[in-house]
Amino acid sequence: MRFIHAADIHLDSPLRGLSRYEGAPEETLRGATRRAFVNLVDRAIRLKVDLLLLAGDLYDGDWPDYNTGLFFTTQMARLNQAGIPVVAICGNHDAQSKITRGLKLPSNVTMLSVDEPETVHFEKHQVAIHGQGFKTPVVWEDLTENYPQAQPGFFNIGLLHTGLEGRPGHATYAPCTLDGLKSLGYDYWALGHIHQREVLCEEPHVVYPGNLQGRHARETGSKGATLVTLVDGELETLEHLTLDVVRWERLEVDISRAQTADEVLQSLGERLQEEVASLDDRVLAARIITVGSGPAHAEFVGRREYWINEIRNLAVQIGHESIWVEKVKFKSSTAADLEELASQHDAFSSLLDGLELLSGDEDRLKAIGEDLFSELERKLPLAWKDPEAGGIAPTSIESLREALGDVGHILAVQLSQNAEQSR
Amino acid sequence: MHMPAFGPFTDFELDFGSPGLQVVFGPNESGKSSSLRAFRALLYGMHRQTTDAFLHPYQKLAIRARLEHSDGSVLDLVRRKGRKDTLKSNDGETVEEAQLTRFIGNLTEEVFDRLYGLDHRTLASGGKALLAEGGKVGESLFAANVGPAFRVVREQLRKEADELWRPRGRTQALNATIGDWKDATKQTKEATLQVSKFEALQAELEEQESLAADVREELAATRARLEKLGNQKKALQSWARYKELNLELEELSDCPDLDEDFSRRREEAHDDYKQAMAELTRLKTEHSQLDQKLQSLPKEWPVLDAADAIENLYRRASRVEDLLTEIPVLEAELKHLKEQVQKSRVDLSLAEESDLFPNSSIRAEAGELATEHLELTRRRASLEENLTKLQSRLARLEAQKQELNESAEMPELQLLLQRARNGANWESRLEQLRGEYKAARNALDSGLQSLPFWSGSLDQLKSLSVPSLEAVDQFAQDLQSAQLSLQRARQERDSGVKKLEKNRAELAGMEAEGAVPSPEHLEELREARGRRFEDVIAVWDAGKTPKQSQGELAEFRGAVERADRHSDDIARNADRVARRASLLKLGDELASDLAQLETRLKETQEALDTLGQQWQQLWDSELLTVRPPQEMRRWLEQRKAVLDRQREFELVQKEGTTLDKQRQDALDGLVKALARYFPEVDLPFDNLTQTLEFLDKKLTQANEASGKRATLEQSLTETRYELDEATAKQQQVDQQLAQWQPRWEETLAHFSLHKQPTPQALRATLQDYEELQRLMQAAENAEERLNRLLTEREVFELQARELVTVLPELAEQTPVALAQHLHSRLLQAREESKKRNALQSELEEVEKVRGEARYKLQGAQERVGQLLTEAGAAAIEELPALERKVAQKRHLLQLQHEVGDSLRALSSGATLDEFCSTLASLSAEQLELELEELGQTESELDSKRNRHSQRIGELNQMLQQMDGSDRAAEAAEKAAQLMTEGVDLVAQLMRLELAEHILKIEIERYRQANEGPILKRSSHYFSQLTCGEYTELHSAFQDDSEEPVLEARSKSGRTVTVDGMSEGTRDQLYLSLRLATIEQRGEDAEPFPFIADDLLVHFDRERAMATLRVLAEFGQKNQVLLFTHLDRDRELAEELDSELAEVKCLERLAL
Repeated sequence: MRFIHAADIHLDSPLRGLSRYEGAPEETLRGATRRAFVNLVDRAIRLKVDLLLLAGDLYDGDWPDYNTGLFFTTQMARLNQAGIPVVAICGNHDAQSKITRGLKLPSNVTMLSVDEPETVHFEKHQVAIHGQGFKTPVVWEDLTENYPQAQPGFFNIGLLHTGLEGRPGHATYAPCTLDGLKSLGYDYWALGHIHQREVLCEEPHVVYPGNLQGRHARETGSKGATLVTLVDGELETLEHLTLDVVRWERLEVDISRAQTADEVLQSLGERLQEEVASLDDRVLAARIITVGSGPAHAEFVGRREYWINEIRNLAVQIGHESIWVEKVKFKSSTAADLEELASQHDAFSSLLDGLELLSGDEDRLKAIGEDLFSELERKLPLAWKDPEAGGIAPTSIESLREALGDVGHILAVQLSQNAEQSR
Repeated sequence: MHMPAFGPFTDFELDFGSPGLQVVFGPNESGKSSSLRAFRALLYGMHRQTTDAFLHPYQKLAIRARLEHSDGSVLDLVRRKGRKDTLKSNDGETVEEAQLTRFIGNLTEEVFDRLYGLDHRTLASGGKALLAEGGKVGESLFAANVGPAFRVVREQLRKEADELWRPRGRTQALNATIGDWKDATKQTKEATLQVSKFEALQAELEEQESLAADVREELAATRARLEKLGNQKKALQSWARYKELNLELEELSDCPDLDEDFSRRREEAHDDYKQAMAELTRLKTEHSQLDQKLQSLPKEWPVLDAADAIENLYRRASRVEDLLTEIPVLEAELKHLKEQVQKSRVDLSLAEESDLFPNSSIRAEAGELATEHLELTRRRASLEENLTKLQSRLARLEAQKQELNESAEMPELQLLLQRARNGANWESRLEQLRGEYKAARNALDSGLQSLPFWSGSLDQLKSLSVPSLEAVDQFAQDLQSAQLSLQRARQERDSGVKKLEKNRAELAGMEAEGAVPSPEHLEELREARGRRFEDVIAVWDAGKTPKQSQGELAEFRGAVERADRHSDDIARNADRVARRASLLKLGDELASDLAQLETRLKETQEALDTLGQQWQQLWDSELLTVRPPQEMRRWLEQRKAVLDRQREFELVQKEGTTLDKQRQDALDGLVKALARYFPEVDLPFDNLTQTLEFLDKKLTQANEASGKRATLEQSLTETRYELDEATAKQQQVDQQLAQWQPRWEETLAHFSLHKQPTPQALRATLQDYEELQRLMQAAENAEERLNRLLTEREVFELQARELVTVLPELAEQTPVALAQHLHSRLLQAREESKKRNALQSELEEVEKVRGEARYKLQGAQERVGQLLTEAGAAAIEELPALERKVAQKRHLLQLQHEVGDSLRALSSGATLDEFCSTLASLSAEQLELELEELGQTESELDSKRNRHSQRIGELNQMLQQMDGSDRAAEAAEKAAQLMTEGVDLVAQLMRLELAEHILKIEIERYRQANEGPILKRSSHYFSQLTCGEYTELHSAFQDDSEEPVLEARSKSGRTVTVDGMSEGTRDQLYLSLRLATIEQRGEDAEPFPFIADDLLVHFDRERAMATLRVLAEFGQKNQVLLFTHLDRDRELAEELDSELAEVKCLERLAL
């Protein structure tokens, strides 16, 4: 007997942090969460699994489009035709979703109760599934307190959407402990909510399969579901199925061995070639991060947009529609350029001194920020100004500091280039 | 600066050793630009793909220089091409770049370019920048310092920012992105399908489908009835027509039955008959015409029999025509050749060629010998010349060798040098140690000063007894745990107090709602009741009658009533009573708990205090302010760092002392040794570096002399060898000439010659003889060809005469004309014969067609006869009328059949007869009425059904559109991307705006800090540069400006702003600002030469001189290197005091 355990589908949830540019693989990236879900259904049909478990968060909570639900129903109908039953629970996201409430699901799908734990039996395989969904988006109680004890003669599976005892980046909903889960005597705990795949325990197996498709730069690496094989009522194997269509990665490039930015790009190009070779028809959403210390840093920061475009062009040439440069972060540092310039006893070194003073004077910087950017801030859409959601507030001290950090390099590089051109 | 190999230079030296103005004059191609490049390469390294390797390979490129620091120290170094360690000392040791950096005051290449390098183009753009900035003081000072390019930077920043965003813009990148984001957000909303909408549509669809089904059923029934009545209505008309047709057919019953294609057959037979007749007539005419033409042609032609002979003759006729022309030409050529042969023989004095000359192989041998003789004599002459040159070179080299003094070899020098170098390394290490000592001392002092809570000395700190980190950590843990316990105890105490207060508040609340009857009070009442009863019993016992004990009884009754009432109250308020009791009990428990908690709190506080005291006791020093464990842990680490620094300091100090002693010993030893070798030198030197330099110089001299001698020896050996080789070659040639002579004489013996000819003369005679041979061969060939042509002409004429018999009338013609005429006649005869054959074939064809026409006519006549029999008619003319009648009968039968069919179709399954009898019973008017009513009903139902269908269609379409599409998700995705894009643009905009703003405020800050001193010095230089035309430079506020601008005062007292100055004056203003800036920088930093490259190109003579004077003055503080290609500048510089300026001339290089 085989079943697939998946969770955190977040259908139609947009991929975050991607900025469009000429040559970016817009088309191939479109509808990634849907395509990953179709991959899941395709795989279940191809593998002829006996059961599919969905451990919550089918959609984003605030997503109102019923079309998403209709799409989900269509995919469930495909499984129905293939004779594959589905057992699912609501997570914190789909608990409040209007889509969940309005959806008419095909007969193969069982949504477990949100009021109390419910048990479904698959007599043919001697499998019992116990589970309870979220009634409200926020559940602070330990739902497993009311889960029944394991039923003898069955392979007992617990289906649960939980933050367990707390996991970084995720709210601790439906808190519970590993010991608490073990105490119920189940053979497999199919958990959802945490987007990073993790096998917490092997006796019994307590598994987070991770989400089906990474949606931003913090959700890196292979994403998908877990395929579980039982032989004679005992768990035989556990296998991760890769189902994502867009792969998020953070690529660090060390600039310390390069003399110029072009040389850094050359080694980045080699790195991208390697990545492309291992993509398997997937799109790579890459965050490029420069690290280390070297002269190229000043070039990058001095002409940030130019070099970002160069990096994007490089990705277009190498990737042929398979790499999207999500962001370029120049986290490297300079060897000594600005320090050297600051010791020159000339007007520019005086400017750098002034810059240093300003960066230490929060009140003055804030006043300059207000003066220069308050109108801009007024005209920006509200959603753009929330730093938590990837936005920027131009008059905030953090934004001003970050921008100010580049000013010395920008002026140094531009001055040097223009002086060279005028010679 | 010495360039052993760089660009066009080989072993070339430029001495800038003197301070002041150094003018380097060099015409074009003299290496002026290369010198400048070498200067830059020396300081900052050679470019990876330098263009200066065209003469010397990369690995040979080198620039040597000696640099002098303002503190008097000197650095000798060599710059080579390479990736790393390109800086070497003279003896090949790697020199750290930092050493060079110290000598050039840490000056970067960029600042070198911007501040210390100036050419006429930058000067001009500097002048323009001053004008463009309206002479603003801040901008002008800034431009003079960082170069005029800063303006472009500022403009670019502004332009890029404006392209990104404008408050009211639409097309700028950020404005456009905001717009796009709004659109995408709107699209998301529009494409979103609300759940309620979907459900409402589905419900309506179900309802509409049910209604539509009802209407469809009703409509079907109405239509069935309509169809039946409609059929009957149609059948009524057909039935009348059916009856009429029966009557008409009865009238035509005697008409015969003919085939349907009778008329066609009749028309075809008739047409065929007419056509056959016409064809026969035409063919007869054609036959007679052809016959006539045939008769007019002859029947035979005699020329055709001799056709082959005539054609053969005709083909050769044109060739014979050419022969007739060629023969006289050949005859004349032959005659000419014979004359030439005769003449050559006369020249060579020959009657017959075989008279004098031997055969051709002897002649060839003689020719080769003559040539060999020529070659040998030429080589001998060349060798002789070479020998003379080599002998002269040998003499010169030997003279040089004699001149070269034998200088003393000093192998010990190498050993001494090594010792001095070791000593110099100690010195350099000592210098470094001094720096390290100072740094370590500073670090130690600053570490001690910044050590908090400590007021003692370093030694006291070192000897301070401190607890271990583990002990501190244990205390930290204990204190933290005690504090936590105290905190918990406080929280529990506070919580107990709150609970008690809450309990009391609730009790008070109950009391406020109304008194709660208490069991205790009931008990009291019952006891009172008992006491009253005792009183009554006592009274009764006392023998009093109840009447007498009224008072006691009343008291007792009252007590009974009160107790009962209270008991009832308790029963009625059982809940409240129980609650009160519980609250009271809880209150007691809480009070007891609280007391315990207070005790625990006190104990915990005491424990904490004790710990605190123990902590203080642990640090037994008055010099230390004891702080909590975490801070003291940090303090301990800081203390350790200070002590580490002290250890480092001590190590440095120790190494310094040891090294200084070693250095001094080494110096003493060296001085003694040097005094022995160089008694003439003034000893001792101050330090080991001087000794090292001295030894280095001596060794270099010794090496150079030895090198020169070795080179000379090598040249001498080579020259001698070459001389020997040349002599040997000469002897070899002489020998070859001697061998040649007998062979020559032997060959000449074959010639019958009166006197011995020279080899050249014989070679010329032999060549003339070969020419005569050639001419004789040509004459022979010409004669042979002439004879062949004459024979050919005779044969042709003979053949022509034989063919005259065919046409005797042409006997008088020339043979060529005869051939042409015969050929022409032959062609004509062929044409006529061909024509006759064609006519005969045509006649035969006509005869054949006539036979066919006659056969057709006969067939047509037979078919007409058969048709007449079928119709029973006598003549063909009767047939058309009969055919028309037969056709009408057939038509009526067809109509009758059709009408019958249509009636059957409308009969709804009844037989025709049955249906006809039904029709006979119907009324047309009644039918019409009923049909009209049903039609109306149908139309109403139909339109109702359409309305339902339309709505169902609409609903289905709407639901189909709700197909799980991802349009909304796609739009949301797009909006997310646009937001990220926009946020990136905002960040970009912020960087640009901030950069521009900071440039602006920092220019102003720079002005405020530097305006006074720089303007003062600029004013001085400007006055000199303008030859006193302007006396002063100052800053002033103009009416309309917020920032001060530069103003110059002319000698007439007039004030002039930058825009009022000529272009040249503005350039000079820029120069004076630049010089003042450099001068000011020199006060804080190591001076560096100011490099002026062709700076005076656009200055007239007077201003050029003024500028040179200024540069010479400036050069006294800061060395100036002026490169120029103008003779004028050289002349002017030479006019200057030689103390102030030196002129060096570069020669034009032959590249």
